Amino acid sequence: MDNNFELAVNWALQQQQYEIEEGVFIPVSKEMPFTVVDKVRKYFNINNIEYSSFSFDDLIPYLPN
Amino acid sequence: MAAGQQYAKNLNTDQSFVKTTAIYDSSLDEWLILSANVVKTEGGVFIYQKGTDDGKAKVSAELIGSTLTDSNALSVKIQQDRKVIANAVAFTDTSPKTYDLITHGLLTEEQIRRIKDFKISINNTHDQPATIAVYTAFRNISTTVAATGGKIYAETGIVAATSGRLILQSAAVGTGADATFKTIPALRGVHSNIIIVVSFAIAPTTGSITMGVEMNG
Repeated sequence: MDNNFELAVNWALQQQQYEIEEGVFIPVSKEMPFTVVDKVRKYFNINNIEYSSFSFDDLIPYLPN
Repeated sequence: MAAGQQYAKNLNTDQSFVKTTAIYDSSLDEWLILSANVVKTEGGVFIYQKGTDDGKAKVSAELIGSTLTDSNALSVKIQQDRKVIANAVAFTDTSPKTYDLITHGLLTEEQIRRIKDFKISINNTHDQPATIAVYTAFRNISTTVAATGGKIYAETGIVAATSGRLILQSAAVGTGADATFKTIPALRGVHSNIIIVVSFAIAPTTGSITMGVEMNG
């Protein structure tokens, strides 16, 4: 799972934008943790990776400095 | 004749030629005229007021009172803070999860009791609406367990799915306010902890929930 988290975080941070409301986009950044978590979750869903509940705090070890 | 100069029986006027009273200064063994620039203290001491060349009064002051100790400073300090107690948590099932200011906000119950007002902000990006319940700690039993606390608010599916937002605060909102505000008067008062329980009727498959508490004392 650690490897999946690392891949998912890297993928999430490569995504340019997060649609916070229909037609309203904000950048994906660790300053807005939900944007990263939601993208990580999207990565898991796209790649059919099973996962249990997690939070931004679980992703901190995989974030670039 | 200026104040403080030797009194002359026939010349007891001040510089504005206003007649003045005189006092006898035993230390000088002479009479001094008393004019507006001499004042008498509560203890009966006459003080000569000084002036500066530009015509302003020269004032010296003494501060009185006790020193503010650390404990006094602590008691008068106005507290304000913001804590994120659920940092983008991705729910994957329907089991309720509990968040509180002690366990997740890292505050002590003593600190929480000093705070007078709380405002809870919730941001839900899950694909399911969130159910929220807020408890105040029942201090005699536990400060962190919701089941032993007193429920001060609960509403099923109150935070909408996808981009739902909710603010719980003590103050009432005005005409035209939208549904993102809920008034809980009990959020203004003494608490040893605030505990929030989040749950979903259907397990979310996308998104997360973020909760923050703003506090002011």
